[in-house]
Amino acid sequence: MFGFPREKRRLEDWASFESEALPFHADLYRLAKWLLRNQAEAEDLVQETFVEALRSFHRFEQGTNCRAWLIKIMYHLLSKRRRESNRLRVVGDVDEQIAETVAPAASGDLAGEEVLNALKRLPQHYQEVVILSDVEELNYKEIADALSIPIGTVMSRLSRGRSLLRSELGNYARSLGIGIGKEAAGKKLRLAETDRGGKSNAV
Amino acid sequence: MQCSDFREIADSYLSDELLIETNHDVIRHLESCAECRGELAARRGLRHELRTKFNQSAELRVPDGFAESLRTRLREQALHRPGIVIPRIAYVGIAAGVLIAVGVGLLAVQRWRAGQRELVAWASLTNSATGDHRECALEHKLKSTIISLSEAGRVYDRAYANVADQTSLQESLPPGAQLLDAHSCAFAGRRFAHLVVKYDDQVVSIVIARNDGNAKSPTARPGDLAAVFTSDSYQVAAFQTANHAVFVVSSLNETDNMTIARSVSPLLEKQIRSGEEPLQAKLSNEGKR
Repeated sequence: MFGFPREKRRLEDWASFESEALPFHADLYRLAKWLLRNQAEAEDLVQETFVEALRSFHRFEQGTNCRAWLIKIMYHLLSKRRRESNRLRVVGDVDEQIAETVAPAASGDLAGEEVLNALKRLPQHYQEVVILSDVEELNYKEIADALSIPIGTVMSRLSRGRSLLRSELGNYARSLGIGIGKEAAGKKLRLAETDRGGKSNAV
Repeated sequence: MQCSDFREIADSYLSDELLIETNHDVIRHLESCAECRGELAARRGLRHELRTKFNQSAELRVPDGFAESLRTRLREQALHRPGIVIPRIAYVGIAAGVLIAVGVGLLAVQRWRAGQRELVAWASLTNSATGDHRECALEHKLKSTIISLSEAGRVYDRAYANVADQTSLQESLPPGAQLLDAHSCAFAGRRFAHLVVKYDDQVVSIVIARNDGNAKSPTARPGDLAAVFTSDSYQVAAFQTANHAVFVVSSLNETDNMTIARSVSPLLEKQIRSGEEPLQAKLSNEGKR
């Protein structure tokens, strides 16, 4: 009944963190695994993210999007890793990304993982915004905060990324009733040309 | 709104990122355009498909036990983390502070103990002086120890010979005071220069004792005639030079006793210092060498 105040406060803080932040561990793991393509590194990044989140949980504004806050922390840590090491796949060779972008879809994947395969063929910076928006359901501002980019860049990347995704999906998209039209196909071509130059105007 | 306009903003509409007015325009357009309604449903379906496939992907499946190990580790950290994170550099500062505090504390204790020793020595010296007054001047019990001041000056303390000039001392005394005797006697292991004065039918002892710096009056600095107190029911006034303490002891009241002390102190101080100076100079010269 009369516990030590510090112990009591720690228990309360932990209970709050456990109920608000920890339920998003699976979302963060999937995102980390998608970005790093390596289980051990993904687990490590998620653990590091939650440790950092726990340490700074007092700065989290109650009532705001906790998942967006966690993703922002994770991206900051990832950005730090990117600077420290060039071996991570997320900063892999640009040519490799371009090759993946223009690679034709495997015909056998249409019914199952085709959506994800099509997503994988997008350049990394389009994948990120599409996932953060359509999978993690972050709003434009939250995406901009997480990626440390202007909100206008988020909007333009989303527009191009989705358009490119639709064109990548081809017949599969049409089976869902989504028209890709000449505009989307043209964007795909321009995108490949721009990225080949090493610098994208898509932002 | 045209269909091409709608397709440009359809995704922002689904993400609820449009202004309210634009939302109304979209809704009005959708009400009248079945093709765009289909396009919107398809895009919504694609998002749902993407989200579902992503979250259900075997490749992205959360490993067994990961959630529990993560929770355990975080719980451990949350409940057992240190309350205050102290930078490593702060430990050095704290350690230095503690060392300084301990050092200052030890120094203070050392000085306090030294002060205590000086006070105890002063009390002992005072007791010896009043005892000498009682045993020698009042009860005449120390006759066997009495020698002349000249001899005491030669054998024990040069300053004692310097106070042997009885004429000068008599002249320094206040009216009514008479110098009865001047000698050196020993009491309680100490040898004194003892000047006996009669004043107002009372015997007053002026006791000069050697003090090698071990005893210090709590109130009087060397040269000051400031220590006035009672000891063994006697009135005592005292002053110090570099190596000597002078006590004026009597059964007079404080004022009269102080009058005697004030009257003789300038002469005695001068005489005693002149006996100390050669020794100090000698010691100083030896130090230089």
